[in-house]
Amino acid sequence: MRWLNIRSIVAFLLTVIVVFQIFPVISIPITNSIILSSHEGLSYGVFGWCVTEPGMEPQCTRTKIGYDSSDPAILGHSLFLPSSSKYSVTKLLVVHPIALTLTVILWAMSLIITLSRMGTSPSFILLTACVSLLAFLFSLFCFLVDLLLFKLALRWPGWLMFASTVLIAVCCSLLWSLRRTVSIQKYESLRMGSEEEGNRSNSIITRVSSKKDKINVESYEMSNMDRLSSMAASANLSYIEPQLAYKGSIV
Amino acid sequence: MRMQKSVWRLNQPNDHHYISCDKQDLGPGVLINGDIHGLLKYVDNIQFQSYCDNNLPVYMATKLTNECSYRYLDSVYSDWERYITTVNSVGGSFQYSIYAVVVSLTANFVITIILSVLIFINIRDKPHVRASRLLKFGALIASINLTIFVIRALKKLSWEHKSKGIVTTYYIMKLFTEDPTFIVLDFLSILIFQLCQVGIVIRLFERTQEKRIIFLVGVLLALLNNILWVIPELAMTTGKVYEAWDILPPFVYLFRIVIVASYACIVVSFIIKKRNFCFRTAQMTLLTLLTVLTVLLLPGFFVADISDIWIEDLAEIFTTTCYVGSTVIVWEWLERLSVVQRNDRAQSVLGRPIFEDEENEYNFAKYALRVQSALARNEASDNTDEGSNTNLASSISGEHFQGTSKVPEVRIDHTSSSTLSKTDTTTVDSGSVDQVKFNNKKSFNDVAQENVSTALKKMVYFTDQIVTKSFGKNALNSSSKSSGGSNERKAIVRKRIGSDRPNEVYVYNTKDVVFESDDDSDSELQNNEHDQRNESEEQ
Repeated sequence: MRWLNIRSIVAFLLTVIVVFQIFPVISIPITNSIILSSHEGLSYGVFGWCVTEPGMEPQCTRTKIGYDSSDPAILGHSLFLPSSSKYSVTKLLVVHPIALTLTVILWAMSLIITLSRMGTSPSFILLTACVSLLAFLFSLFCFLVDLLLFKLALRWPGWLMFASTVLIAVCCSLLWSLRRTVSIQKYESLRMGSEEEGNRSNSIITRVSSKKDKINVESYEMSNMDRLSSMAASANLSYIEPQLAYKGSIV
Repeated sequence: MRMQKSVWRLNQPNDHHYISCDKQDLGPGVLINGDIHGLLKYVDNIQFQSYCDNNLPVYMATKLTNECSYRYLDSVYSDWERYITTVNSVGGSFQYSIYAVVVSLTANFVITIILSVLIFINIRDKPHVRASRLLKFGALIASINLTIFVIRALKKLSWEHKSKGIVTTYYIMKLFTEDPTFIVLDFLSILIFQLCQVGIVIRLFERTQEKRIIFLVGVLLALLNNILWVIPELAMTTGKVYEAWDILPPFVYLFRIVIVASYACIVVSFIIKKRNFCFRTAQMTLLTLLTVLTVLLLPGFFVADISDIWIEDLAEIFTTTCYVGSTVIVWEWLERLSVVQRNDRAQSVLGRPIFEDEENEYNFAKYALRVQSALARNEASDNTDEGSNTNLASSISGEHFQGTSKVPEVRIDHTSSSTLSKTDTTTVDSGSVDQVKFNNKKSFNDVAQENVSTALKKMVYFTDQIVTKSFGKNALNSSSKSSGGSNERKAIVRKRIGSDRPNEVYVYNTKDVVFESDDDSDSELQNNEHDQRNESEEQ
């Protein structure tokens, strides 16, 4: 059950969410079978509305953001919304594609976290968690817009937005907890490394004090510049303070 | 009853036509009025038009009964009957009448004033000094705003009653949308309450980095929401209609719901997480339930609004009260919860959880101290060989460092990562072949990266300053709700230093400590004096 960890659960949930959010976006008039809402012979989707009469092919408006009551494709039919809102409010349905885009980005990031070494990077997970916050806000916004425009005439693709909002909230929570876990792991490895380094520098100092002469310390592995600078510091050289330090000094 | 700012919600105009609102020819007749010279006048052709508000009948303050000898026209009666039986937002049923508005306004006013008084009485300044003062300031503004509004609304009603003999909601609703004082004060109070809510959410999280992100995101959302809200409101006061902004009011309305829903989600999830503390005592349970109720109030109004548009207008009236309640009650609940939590944590070794982002700093400091102690030991052992430092340095990697002999000062850098900062200013001998040139001219990418990193660090520093000073950290020194403990401690200290009774005068016994040797010397002195006195008497 090694695959069952937070990363894979988030990736799986986000896959489900992306699928959920695709349905409202491809609703009528892009496809004829998926309807966001229907009310008194009219069917509504994110990019337009259609007149559906039994036994006949639906007549739909052109695909665009915001409903147009004077579309030439359906002349002779008047548009009215279940909530009696003004038609201009339907422009708010633009949040559906925005939410989908954000969720797809989040999904891609979660896949990167699951499949690559970026999964151990606290900053990348932090970025993903922040994107998940945005995705949650937009997903909730989509559901509220649908509810405001179509009220209880909302059909299953609209209610899927509610489900995806809840699932994104869960993912968001999991991502923040993942960030904490990775941060702790990073800290533990840092602490271990630091202790190891401290032991090494202590052994160097011991040698310095015993020989009081030039000592060949090149045999010690100085893999990076940080260690070099720490050696410089241990050799009583100036220790350059960081550019931004704002807490009381410990002398 | 209909607010101008929620007109975006009505697509279809009022399809009811009321005859009494049009001019009606009544033919010849006698006019009786106090304004007419002689009180009576015969007129060949009389035209009558009833007083209407936006082509809708209004409630007359005069008596409208059939028994009265001087009665209104039948068309007025029939229109009024039709109007009050229409149950929707353009109808005049009881729920849309002036009574509902007056009750809502006064209830709103009373609740806000009570909550403001509670804020001033119950909420202490410490440890979240700025946030609590911000909350008090917001409550004060909200109270002043509602007081002004209620007075103005009652004055309008009184004026309508006296001058026109009618009672409408028109002028009260107009105050909501066209009164600049109300709009500005409402904007300020809601912005302040939203900022306080950001402070509350910051208090719910314990890690520094999460606090930073919540602060930045929360403040950004609060500012964005309120600025977008105030633009169409202020534009409406100028009387201009911007077609392009048609979509802005519904967007802001939903945006506000999104924010309060997110706030409610965070608070409710926190309650679930801390259910052991929240439902420990009966008092905490009640307060927790009240908290849940208040945070769900605004989202609840939205859901109710979906079923009935009438609620939306009431939600608008109750917005300020909802914000005051969902901030003040949650704040108080959090204060009590933190006392319960602190009592539990007091039994642990450290008194509170320590997180790795705080611990990083200490780790860094420990490391620095270890280096320092190593230096001190090195200096002690090498005090006879002054040049050893340079030799040591050159022996490290064949390089020649220019060092100082003083013990370095180590500072804790909150923002630095785990790595040590590179010694940029350390100079090296130019003649060395293998030297590492730390002072090399940096590439554009390095400079840009450095600048971005400095800007980020400064932003984090600024955020930390605000978060720490305004909303406090879960430090050990944060005082508890029961201020008795700190007062007792203060009293003990005061007593110890003697400043508890400053007006009382004490006479201290200044008796010297007498040693045996002193006694001897004293007796010798006394003997000498006695001898001298005797000698003088003899003389």
